[in-house]
Parts: sequence; C-alpha cells; structure tokens
Amino acid sequence: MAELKYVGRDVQRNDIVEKASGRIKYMGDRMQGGAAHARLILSPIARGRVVSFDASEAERMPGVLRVFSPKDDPGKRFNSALFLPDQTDLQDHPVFTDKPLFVGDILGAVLAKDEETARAAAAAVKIGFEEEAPLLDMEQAALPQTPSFREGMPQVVEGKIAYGEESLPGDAIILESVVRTQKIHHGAMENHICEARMEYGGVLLVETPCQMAFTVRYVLADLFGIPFNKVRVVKTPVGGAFGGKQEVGIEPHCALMALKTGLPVRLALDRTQTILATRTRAASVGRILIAADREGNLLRREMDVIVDAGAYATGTQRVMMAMGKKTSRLYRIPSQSFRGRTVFTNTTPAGACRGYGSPQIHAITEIAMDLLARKLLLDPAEFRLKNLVHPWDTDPAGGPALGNARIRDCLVRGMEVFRWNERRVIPSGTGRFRRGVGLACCTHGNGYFGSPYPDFMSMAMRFCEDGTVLVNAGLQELGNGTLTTIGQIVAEVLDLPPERVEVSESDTSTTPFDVGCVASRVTYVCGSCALELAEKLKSRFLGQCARVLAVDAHRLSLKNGNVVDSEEGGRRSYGGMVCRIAKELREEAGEYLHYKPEANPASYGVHFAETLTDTLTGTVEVTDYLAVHDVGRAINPRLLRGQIYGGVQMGVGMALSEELVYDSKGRPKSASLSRYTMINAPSMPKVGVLLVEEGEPGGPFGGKSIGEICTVPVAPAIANAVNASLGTMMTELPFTPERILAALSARRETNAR
Amino acid sequence: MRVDTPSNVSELRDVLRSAVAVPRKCSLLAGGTDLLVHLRASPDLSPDLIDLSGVKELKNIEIHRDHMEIGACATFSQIEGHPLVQERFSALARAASLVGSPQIRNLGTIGGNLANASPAADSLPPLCALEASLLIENAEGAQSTLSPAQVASAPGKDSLHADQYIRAVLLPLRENLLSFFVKTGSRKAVAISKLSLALALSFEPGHVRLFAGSLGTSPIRMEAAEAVLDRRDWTEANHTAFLDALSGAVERAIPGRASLPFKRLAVRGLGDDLWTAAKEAISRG
Repeated sequence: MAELKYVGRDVQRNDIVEKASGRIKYMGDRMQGGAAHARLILSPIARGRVVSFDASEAERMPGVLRVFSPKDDPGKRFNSALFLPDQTDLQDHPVFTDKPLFVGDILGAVLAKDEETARAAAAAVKIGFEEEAPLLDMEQAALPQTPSFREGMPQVVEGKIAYGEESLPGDAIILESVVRTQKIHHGAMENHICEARMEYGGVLLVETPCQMAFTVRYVLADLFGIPFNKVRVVKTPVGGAFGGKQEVGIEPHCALMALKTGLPVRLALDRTQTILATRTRAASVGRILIAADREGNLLRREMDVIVDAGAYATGTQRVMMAMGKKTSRLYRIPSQSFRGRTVFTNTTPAGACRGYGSPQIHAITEIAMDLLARKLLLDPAEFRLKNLVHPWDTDPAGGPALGNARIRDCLVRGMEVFRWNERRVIPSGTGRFRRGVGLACCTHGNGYFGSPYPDFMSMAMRFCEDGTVLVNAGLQELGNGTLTTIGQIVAEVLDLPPERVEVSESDTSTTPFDVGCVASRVTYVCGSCALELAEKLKSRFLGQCARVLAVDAHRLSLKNGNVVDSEEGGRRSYGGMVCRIAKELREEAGEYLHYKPEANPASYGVHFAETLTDTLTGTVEVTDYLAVHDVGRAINPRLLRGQIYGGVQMGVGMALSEELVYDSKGRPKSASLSRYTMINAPSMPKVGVLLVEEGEPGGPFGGKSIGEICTVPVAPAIANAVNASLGTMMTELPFTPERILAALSARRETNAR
Repeated sequence: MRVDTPSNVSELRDVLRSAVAVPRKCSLLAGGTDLLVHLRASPDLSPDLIDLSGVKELKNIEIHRDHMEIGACATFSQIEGHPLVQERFSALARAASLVGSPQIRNLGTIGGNLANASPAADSLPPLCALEASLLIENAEGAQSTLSPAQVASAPGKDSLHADQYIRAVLLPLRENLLSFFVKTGSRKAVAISKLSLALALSFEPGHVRLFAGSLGTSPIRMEAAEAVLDRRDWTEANHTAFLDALSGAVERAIPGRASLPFKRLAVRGLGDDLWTAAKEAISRG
C-alpha cells in the first residue's frame, strides 16, 4: 500500500479549538429563555403507590406554567432500547408513573418560565405514598418463589448459549467461583438534557445529546402515535455518553410536555437526578466453573450469570445476551454453557454502559481464570497463551468469524514491554505494603452483524463549489473523535486536507439512516461506509472531469485538492471542476451509498496492572499500567490513545471505588459525586499503550474498534494483581478498602486455624 | 431572598442585629462550598444570606505573643500555604492541604468548615490536638470562646446562636511542638475522610494530644494511645501496643456500627503513619 497521508496520523480533531476554548455550545450552555423549563419530580420511595398528588401550592407560584402528574401519562408503555417492531424486549416503561418502582422513578414534572421556579415548584408538590417493601437483592430476585413486583410482567428473563459435549473428564482440575460486579453510574460530565418543540408543519423537533437519534425517533413516534416523518430528532454536542445516552432517556418526558402544552420545553437533570433516574451499568453475579487438564488446556466452562436490570426492562436483556456471546471468542474451549438470567429489582434501571456487558463478563471469567491458574500452579500469562484463539478462528457458538484475531500478539508483546516474567516472580513482600502484578485478556465486537439487530447505514457525499467535501451522515460524535476519523478516511481517498471535509451528525429529517454510535461499530462499519462511498465519489468525479475535459478518465487523478492530467500535466482545482461539471454537465459531483457490513470480527486487548496495597488501611494504588490492543490499524493514534486513557480511568473506578449502593429501604447512598467515588487524576497510574496493527479485513484501512474494549479488562487486571499480591481470592468488585481488610482478616483467621 | 454584604465587622454586627430583631431565617455564607450545594439541593429552604467574603477582619492570619489567630474566613489555600502555620502547626497545614480540590480550597474557609458541623470536617481533629479555641462574637460585640469540639451539636448542626459568628481560631503557641495529620478516604485526593488522626506532641515527654475524626459528631480523644506514645519507647512491642490502643478506642467509640470492622483495622494504618512520622521527627531532634 502506498504511504498514507492522513490515515494513521495524529490529525488534530475537528472541534479542538471550540472544545479547548470552551466556546462549543452544549445544550446546558444555552441561555435561559426561548423555552419553558421543566423539572422532573422523582419518587423518594423504592416501591409503592401514589395515593395523593397535591400540586396546588406549586401551581400558585408565580411563573409556574403547568404541573404534570401521573395522570398525564399517555398510558402506552415503551422500551427505551427498541428500534424495530420485531424486537421483543418488554415494553414496560411509563412516562409518568403512579406506581414507582425505584427511588428516582419519574412521577411528574413542573413546567415554569425559568429553571429556579421549576425547581422550587417541584419541591413544593406534595405527594402521598403507600409504601411496599422493595426487592433489592438480585439473587433473591432470581429465586423462582420471588413474585414479580411488575404487574403481568415476568420477574426473570432467561437466555442460554451452549456448544460442545456437556461431560467432563474425571481427572480435570476444576475451579468454581462466584464473581460479583457492581452497579455503576456512567459519570459523563454532561448531565442529561433535552429540548422539544413543535415546528411548522406539525413536526415535533427534539434536540438531544444522544447516541442513537433514529432510536429516539422510533420510540417517540411509536409512543405518541405520530407519523415517523413528523418526528425530527437532532443530535446536539455530547459532553460524554458512555452508553448512558444510548437508550432513550428523558426525551419522552420532554416531548410529552411539548405536545401537551404546545410550548418549547427544555428538560435538564442535575447530577443526582442523572444518577437516580437515567441508566446504570447492570450489576451481575456470575457463578463460573472452569475445567482444565493438568497442563492447563481448557476443557470446559460453565457460567450461570444473574444480571440486574433494575426496575424496568430497558436493554438489559440484550446486555445479558451480549455477555454470553463474548465467552466463545477469547479462548479455544471445547465445550461451554452460558445461562443468563435478567432479573428485576427496585433500583435504577440498568442498560447500555461502555462495553455493554463485556466488562462484567470479563471480570467474571478473567478473575476466575487467574484463580484456576493458581490452582494449576501456572503463570497466568502462560496459562492464557495455551488457550487463546488464533487469527481466523471461528466462533464455536455460531457467532461471526473472529477475523484477524491478534490477541496472542498482544499478550506476547505486552509481556515483554511490561517485563511480566521478571515482575511476576518478585515476592510481594511481608510488610505493610504489598506489590503485585496482574493481567486480563478481553474481546469485543465491531458492530451488530451476526446479531438479531440489523447493521447497515447510508451516507451521501458531495464536492462543493469550492472543492470542499460535505459528508451527510447520521453520525453521533460522542467526544471520541468520530467526525475527525471519518474525515481522515474521506480525505485520504479524495486527497485533500481533512479540514476541508465536513462530516455531519444525525438529524433524522435530513441525514440518511444510521443505527447509531453503539456496539463499537463506528470505525468498522461507518468508517468502511465512508471509505467505500469516498471511492465511489472519486470514481464518479474523475469520470465527470474526464467528460468535461474530453479526455480519457485514466489520465486523471486526484492530488492534494487538484485534478491532475498525467499526459497534459495540467492541474485543476476540485472546486473549479465542480463548477464546470455543474455548468457543462448539469450534474452534482455527489454520490450516495447503501452500506452493509458482511463481517463482525473481534477486537482484542490485554491489560497489565501493578498494584500496591496498604494492608493496614486497605487502600490500593495502581502504580503501573500497560494497555495492549489489537486495533487492526490506528486511524488516528492520538485519539485512539485518548480512548484508552479514558477507558482505563473508568475501569480503575470499577476495580476499586465506584458503586451504587442502597440502604434497606432502597434509598441510594451514593447519589452525588461526593459520595460516588470516581477515579480522579491523582489516583491514576501512568498508562502505557502498545498497539498491535496487523490489519482487519473489512475495516477502513484495516481499522477496528477501540472505544468500548479499552475499559473491558481493567477491573480484572487490577483484581488479579491485588489477589496475587495478597494471596487472597477476592471476587467481589469493587475492591474497596473495606473489602480488602475483610478479605485479609478472613485469610488470617483461616491461616490461624 | 435577601443577601447582605457587610465589608467589615461593624457592618456585620449591624446586619446580625437587624436580622435577629425581625427575626428572619439567615445563613452566614463564608466560602459557600457546602452551603450553596445544600441550598441548591433544597429549593424549599430559601434563607436570607449574609455574605462574609467581604469582611476584611475575618481573613487575616496573625501571630501574637502567645498565640496565632486565624480569621474564620481564612481559606484552606491560605492556611495550607502559610509559612508560620506550616512551621508551628503542621497538622493544620497538612489537613488544610487535604481538603477537597484546589478549587474548593481556594473558596472553603476554616470557619465555614467548623460551622458546617460535618463529622468528616478535616480541620477539626488538628484543631483539637493543637488545643485551639474559637473566638465567638455576637451582634453586640461580646466575645466568648468555645472549644472546636463544641461547635457541632449534632452532625450538620452548629451550636451557635442566631446573632453569633465565629470570629477567629486561636492557636496557643507552644515551644518544641510537633504535629501531624493523616486521613484515609475513598481515593487519594478530593476524598471525604472515612477516618483521620491528628497528633500533637512536644519533643520531651509529657505533652501528647491525639484525636480521631469521622468517628462521631466531634473528634474523639485517644487517651490510651496517647499514654503509650508518651513512653517514647520506639520498640516493636510498644508500636503494637499503640496500634492496639487505637483499635480499642475505635471499638469503644462506634460499637455495633457497620463501619466498625473497617475502622478498627484502618486506624492501625493511620496510627502506623503517625508513629513513623513522630519517631523520625523526634529522633532527628
């Protein structure tokens, strides 16, 4: 391949100046006015019934426009993840409920002329409840005798994936364990916000910082019975999403208020409301059995996983199935069974969160793998090397082929750079502080291909009269650099500077359809669409130029913004040619492409962590870190590294400190950022990044996903380091000081016996 | 909502007098890092505010013959960076440096921290260890003193009258005094204390004050551990005795509390830090 000009280079991101200077206008930066301000009224109880709703005091307050109560609920139930009618996820979600199912369930809202009035009025609404005892424990929720607290809805939704012989050889070494992962808040800097208004022609316009504009359209049109082409969803700048803005969140509430009043409505949540009333990473409990022979060759794995959906179905059943689907794509295992049960509890609903179940299932399997390695007296890295998949392996459970799966390269090269062999055998010490190293491997996907969800997109692309290029696509920039990398791909093919390529974001009325910025599909699927379309446009443009210039198209090529004639030697600017094509051919230099991926290879990663644990206070410091990823090809290495740094930061939180906990009445104990501990800069290790770039067929210039997978192996890598350094077998995340000290006490007692 | 912005103590007294005379519900606004968060979360509370940030007498840190006077509105940044605080009252300087984030420390004040009456207030244990007293003044200018441990009557509730305010923190100057502060939270920085210890001791035996924070409304004095430390016996056996005394004090302070199993162990880690620091400082001479 000829040397690339823009792909593989650290092209500056398109929005760097606006973001670094603070000039970008997130929705929350809009001045007050121009819209009525809404404030949600959330349930303070975890389960029960509204018996009285007295808004008289609120309604008397000057500036209050309207109070919405459970009586304003449209009656129809929705599911916030659903985007086609064949999808069978339970539709159980009301807009305003009179039977709250968790602290934070949305009962109503106040609409007022400004935000302060809305807040004060919402606090003045007096609501009487009849309380019932909440169901909070997910294992109890999974018991067959536990009744459903959701009228007419099942309490457990099950799914299974299995392949191979069920039997086990008698001499197999078996490890059984139970690993627990916690409920997590996404922690995006931007809280949830949305604006809805009626536009000319009876069009409902909804502006929202979302990840799937067309899903928002689907849910709103379906819920309110509006023709789809009369619902216009426009994606606004996103201040962090991480899956928390993937499902439809507060858009139905905002739209309902706009529809009922005819007023433009802005609905903004504060941090506590975002923590309580939106979505979370699903907590899980995974029972796992791994069998291997004495040499460490895996024979069979059995997993029985309970996944906590919280109070509503949302997309958690999909998350649970996604967990199962990852388990046959990392190691060669002759036989395996996965049973997942999605259960309901009176807690904030779960849903998509960076990794979509991958961090949970990898925590379960990778912590257990280390415990088995210990039992086998094997180096955890050597044990994995014996079993990891090879490039071009198939998925024994029937999923798409793994593609150029370079996990083995990741592990081998990472071991060398991290000096694994040397560091692993250093004794952890006998004093107060214990040092240890750990690693974890992982896999993640590249889109929806091979799943029940159709993966496809369309784009339009055209040259403008000045030679700039406009890419009309339903993309969603989430801060991860989507628009920049798509621009680089287009710039590479059309040979012009990336800053001369403008890439649009989703507007359901003006951009072609795209599924959304989900499933780690953007580089592999959307990037490939952009690449193929750019090539199609190039060919059309060269053909048009040839007709205008009356020469053979083979003589022409695109070079740095100019059309070059190899025989005549002339150079003509793209813009000039676009104008001549318009005038002389009466044609646009534009193309359209319907794209569907025909593969869904796996991305891979190995993370190495060194931890230092204070055995007296129980605090864990991550003192060194290396992330190794099989990315096929880095389109923009600097942006890619940025993804990894952020993924590690989220993962350290999952490993050590982040956890949504509830008291016995279901009231959250960590509903603010002072009580919900995310990892900040002083607690971050220096993160080394090593990329394996062996090229992935089907991906743009060989590229594949990074955004989600980089947070997947963090928690188990750190957990394994801590367990190795302490000689413990901790399996409950996060490893808080309390849990560390409890584990050390338990170990001391065992040793004393 | 009414906001008064007195620019000196005399204006502040006038404002307080008129507020008490009406009477109306008033809150004193110092740095606002807790109060404003609280008010925003509770829109039903809408007290009038008296903004202390302009009262110039409250911001000073001054050294007198036998004591240091830290104005109630001195910020944690000021305290953390003050050379004399660092030199004479290093436990307080250290505690100030561990409060919140730099942004919080630039606004948050020592008086506000005390009046906010949080059991996790980082300034309280060192003030107790350093024998500080609070200078309280009322609208008429009458002064009284209060021990730091008496400010909080319950978590989140201060014991001051509506016409009173904290004027300053007074710290007696002792010769040859060493002091240390350690805490543990859920992360290295910007962490609410789960447990903290403040120690003040003289070079020569006879004076040791050791207080634990985040165990109750006010800091708890660890007398048994003080006695062990005052032996100035740096052997391993005495080290263990010191840590055992700390664990014992925690067990007595919070019996039956869910956090007891953690805190009775974690206090040993903080105790070990203090032990090492004190031992090194004293043997250095």
